[in-house]
Amino acid sequence: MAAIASSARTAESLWRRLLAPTSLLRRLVRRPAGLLGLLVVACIVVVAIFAPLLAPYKPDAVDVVNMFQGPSPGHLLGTDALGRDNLSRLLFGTRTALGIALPAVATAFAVGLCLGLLAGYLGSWVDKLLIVLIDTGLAFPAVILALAMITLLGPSIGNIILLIAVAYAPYYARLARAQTLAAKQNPYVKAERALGAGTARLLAVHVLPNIIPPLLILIAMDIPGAIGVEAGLAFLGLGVQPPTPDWGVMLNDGFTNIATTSWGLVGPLIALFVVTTAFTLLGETVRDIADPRFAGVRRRRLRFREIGKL
Amino acid sequence: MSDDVLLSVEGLEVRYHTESAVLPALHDVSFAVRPGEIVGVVGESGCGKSTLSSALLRLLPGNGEISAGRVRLKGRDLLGLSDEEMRAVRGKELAMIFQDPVSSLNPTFTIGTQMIDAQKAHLGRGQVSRPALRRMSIKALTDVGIPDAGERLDTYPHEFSGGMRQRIMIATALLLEPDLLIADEPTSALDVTLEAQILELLRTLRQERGTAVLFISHDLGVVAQLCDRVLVMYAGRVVEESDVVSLFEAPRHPYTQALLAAIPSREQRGGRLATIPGQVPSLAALPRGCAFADRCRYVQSVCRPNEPPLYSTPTGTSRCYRADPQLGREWPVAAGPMGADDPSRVITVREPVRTDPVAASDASDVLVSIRHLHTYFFERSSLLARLLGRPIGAVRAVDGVSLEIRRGEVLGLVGESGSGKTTLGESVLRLVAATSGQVLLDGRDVLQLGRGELRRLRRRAQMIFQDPYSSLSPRQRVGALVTEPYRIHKIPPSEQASAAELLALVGLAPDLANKYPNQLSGGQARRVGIARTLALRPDFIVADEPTAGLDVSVSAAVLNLMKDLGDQLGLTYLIITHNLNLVAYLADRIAVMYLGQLVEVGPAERILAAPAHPYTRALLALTPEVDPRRRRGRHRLLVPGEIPSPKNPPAGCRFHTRCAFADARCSSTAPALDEVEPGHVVACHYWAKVRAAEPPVRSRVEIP
Amino acid sequence: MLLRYLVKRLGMALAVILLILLFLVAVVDLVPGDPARIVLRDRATPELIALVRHQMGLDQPLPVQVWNFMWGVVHGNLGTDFFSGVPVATLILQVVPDTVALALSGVFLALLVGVPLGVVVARRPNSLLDRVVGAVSMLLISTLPYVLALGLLLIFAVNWHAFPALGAGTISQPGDYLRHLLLPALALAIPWWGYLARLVRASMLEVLGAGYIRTAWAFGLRERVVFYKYTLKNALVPVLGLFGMMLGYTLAGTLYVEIIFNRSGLGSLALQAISDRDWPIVRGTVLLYALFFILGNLISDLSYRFLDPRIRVEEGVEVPA
Repeated sequence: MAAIASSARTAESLWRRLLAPTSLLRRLVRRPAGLLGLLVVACIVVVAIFAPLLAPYKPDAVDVVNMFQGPSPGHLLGTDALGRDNLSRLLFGTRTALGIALPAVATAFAVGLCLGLLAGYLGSWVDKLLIVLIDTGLAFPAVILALAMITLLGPSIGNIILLIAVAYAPYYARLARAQTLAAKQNPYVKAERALGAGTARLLAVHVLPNIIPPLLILIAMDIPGAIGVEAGLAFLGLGVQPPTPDWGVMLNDGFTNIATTSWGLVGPLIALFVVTTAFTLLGETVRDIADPRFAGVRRRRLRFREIGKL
Repeated sequence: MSDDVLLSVEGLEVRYHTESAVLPALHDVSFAVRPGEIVGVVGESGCGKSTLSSALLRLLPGNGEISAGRVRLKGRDLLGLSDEEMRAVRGKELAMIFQDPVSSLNPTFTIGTQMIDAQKAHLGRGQVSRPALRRMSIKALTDVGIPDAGERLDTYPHEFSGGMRQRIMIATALLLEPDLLIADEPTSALDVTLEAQILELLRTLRQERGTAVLFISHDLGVVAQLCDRVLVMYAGRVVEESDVVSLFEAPRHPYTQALLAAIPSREQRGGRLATIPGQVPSLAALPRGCAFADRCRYVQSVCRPNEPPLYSTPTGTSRCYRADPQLGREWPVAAGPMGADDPSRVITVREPVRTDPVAASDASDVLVSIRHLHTYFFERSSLLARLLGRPIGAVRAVDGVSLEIRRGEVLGLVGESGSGKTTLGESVLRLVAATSGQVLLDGRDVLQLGRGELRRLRRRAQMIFQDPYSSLSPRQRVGALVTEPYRIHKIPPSEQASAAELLALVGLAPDLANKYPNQLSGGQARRVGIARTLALRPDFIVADEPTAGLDVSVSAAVLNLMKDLGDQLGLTYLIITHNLNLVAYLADRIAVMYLGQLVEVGPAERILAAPAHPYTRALLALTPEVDPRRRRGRHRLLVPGEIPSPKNPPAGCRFHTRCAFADARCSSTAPALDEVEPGHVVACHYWAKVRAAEPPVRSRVEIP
Repeated sequence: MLLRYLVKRLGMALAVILLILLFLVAVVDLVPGDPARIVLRDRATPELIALVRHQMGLDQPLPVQVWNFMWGVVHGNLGTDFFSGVPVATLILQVVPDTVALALSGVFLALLVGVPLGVVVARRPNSLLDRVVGAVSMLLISTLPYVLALGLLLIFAVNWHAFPALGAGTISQPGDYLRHLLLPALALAIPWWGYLARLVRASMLEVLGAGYIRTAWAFGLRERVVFYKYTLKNALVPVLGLFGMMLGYTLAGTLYVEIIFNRSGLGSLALQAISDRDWPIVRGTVLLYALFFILGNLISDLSYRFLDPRIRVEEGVEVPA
């Protein structure tokens, strides 16, 4: 009974915190870019979850007789080479996109954070070793790494997630390391040491909470990137393979058949554009809000010379 | 009103437009500067003095607006000029130098380029040849004392030290021969010895070229030493104006009086500093009537409804109804002494049970004994360098310091930047790894303690850091911050003092516990830091620049607090500071440090009365005193040059390169600590000569 | 001293290259796939596999393989094409110029438009132009290279027939070559316009807030001088440091663009090799991409340090006082 009451209280306080005037959420929706981004991303998530209910056809429903049809009441975006409904495939595509991007970025974050924290805090040879590793990792854009890895491993969803995670992890490691180094120098860390705090406490209570926010922002910006990489790989034939409904695969089909019809390309191009833009809008707005420099400055028309002193 | 007025400001009003409100930054500011005059503008932070300087040059930020008033330079109305006309005025007739020399010069251009560009801005195309411009620049640099000006013209700003950069700024500003130079806190970022050089430079320039100066500063001492007339500002208004002697000897406005009484000095020893109750009002919420009324000891009902105008006084002006011919005559005497906080407040802290077996033995009266301490910072030598057998350079921050700190005393460690004093403090508490030596706390060597013992040590010896804000974790609330030590040392709840109790100890209200550090004022943040160190009832506190970044009135309160805590809790302090006035007021003993070594140690009264080391003597003479009559007569006492690099200290006596008493012996043999009198030692071959030399101009000088 | 830093940095780059070489050889063992089996596909029999492994040098112990590869690389030998026996290096050399031309023109076009755009809006912040450019930049930043390329292809080449859709043209006819180059280079450049404009704008505004710019105003320098001389020079330093990153990402983009516009180049070579399962070629192209990336980073790192006089000073001690 008491447990229920206390969890109800926690939920209520959380809810109140979320809706408080200065909470992140409120400030986010106050900006048009943030609001737009949030709404679109919400829609995308909804589509991904409820795709089977929203799509008019099954994504792999082959109907060769009706192949390459343009838009019509029955097929809002037309059909592809095998007569499958483009719209349905598009909607299901959100699942592949998010289903690969999210785990990949989450893994990259976790691994990168640990490595960066270790490198930054321990210093000396551990740091030097990790720097070389991180730099090596940074030398490979995801797609290039994919060339080698997919040849050897073969394209499978698991491999693709692994690949993206490995390609992105060095960025998190580098950022985490830089943040840790900065936090180490922070006067309040010194002050805590003066009070007698030990390494473990310093790391857990003072360093970690301060280094995570920039990494979270990186996550927000990496999700669209990961979706882009995943679709790009599929487009090149290195990623998810047909017949899985995936935007990259659809692009590949559309490109191959570009002489016949352009309609195969339109859907996925727009989908990719919308998704990446929405996530980017969201991520950037969050980043702007979190930046303490932009608090309370009135947006008056400024002549450049006068901004000098702001 | 003489008609050869250089700058005349009448009723100046400046506003800032922000997202939430329109802030009145300056209100009814009026004053005048005559040719060749040095006028000081003094006030605490937020009083509007910087806004004033920006407004005069019409360089306010985009959201700033000059809403009313007149500014006339040599009779010409500056506010009515077009942008291009104003541009021509800037630099040529009205020049400005800024506070931070490090960020005031463009790092990607040589100083020569910048100086030449400054000149070209006011010349027609091809009017003067480039070689001619270079020559003039070189001459200007030489005039301000930059050696080898010819070669250094093509070097970058970062290759100069801070003091030199400030001189370069002045040289550039004067190249164009302006009639009025506005100096916005030009020496606040510099050490005392450097500050003295710059002030002397300004005086010379006034004398030789007749350049008038509008000197803006928060430091009343500097203003007392340099200026002919002074304006005092508060909350965007001029509250008093007077000639320098009258202002300091007989201030009229209550704020000026309170400010002067709050400055620590030798004369205030043993007493409490006066503080000003309350806080500077926020510009968004100025009170009705006189802006200072809420904090004034003379306040009467007439002060509230309407703001007093600027009344004329025999020596200047004063914005106070007490200066009104009628009202002033029967003004009641102020109630009570100058706003000191209640000294009778009793302070107790619940003391957590000590698990440290070494009980505080009152047998010996030395609490901390530092022996032959050396702290070097080694260069990060690359593998390559080590392979090549190249010697590893080191910064010898603390180079052989031995010092004793007695139980219950306040030891003031004084030195300029580069002296190593902060490093010494940190080494003593083992926040920085010392290279060799011992630090004995009650007989146990701090530097040899194991981890567990070190943690227990931390309960007895604490540190107050320089920056009040950055030592507080920004994500924790005040309540959590002050009780953090209990969690770190796992003190059981029964032994803990509550956050409210700790805050009350330092004179803060309990509701502050819910705030975050960035919501606190500087003074409050400083007190929170002190409260935190007191949680475990330490014996020994190292305070690094305890009043850094705080306004005069606020630091007075902090100093009073420290004094009370020291008296009532039996604390021992090591106060590290560059401010000799602070130490003159608070310290029992003084230790002076230069380039990593102690040059003089002794009882405060003795050192202040008769210093034995040339450096101490110079510091005492050059530290600006708030008495305009005691002006450093002249250049005799100026310490030339700048502090050498700690990587490469001079041979023999480290101070000999800048010392007026030095000779060949000083450059070859380093002096040992010699006893001058019991308890007073000095490291100088010629200390007897120093003491016999004329006292640093303690005589009254006629002010023209 | 700059020299010391140069040596240190080159050393780092070299270390990374060695690690990459190591990785490229060792990955074969670390990872489930077997290049021999993969290339043979259904025709795999134990004898053939063993034969192919021997031919590829995969039966040697790992350290020997690594050494052989490194030795080979230093001498310009990147292995041989499994099918034709042609040295991989030869194949790569044939196509690299096209890729490099594409990447460089992409970066060039990016800078050509992006930087001036940023400077122009920095001069009039919060004006209508600034807001429009800001909004468009936002859109461009999130654009994926292949989305843009396909879009451009669709609009300009397929529907409007304004530009050629296929191939690279020949160098001997520079005009034709450029026509073929334009669309692909644009596809690579356009996403950078948004990013660069924003970066330059932010950098300019930040510099404008600096103390030394205030000093310049106080000295009475003219607006144009302050903006274009004093501010610009300082503001561009971080942008130039970006060059390496730009080159790297643009190279990754060439992979897509070469396929979409049917141009010859490293990317086409690599993808073809992948579908053939020709590991030596894949390995060689990946190595080359990585080398370009490292080179780009090295250049930008060094030029950044070279440009900012403050950083030219020797890095030494962290200190006290």
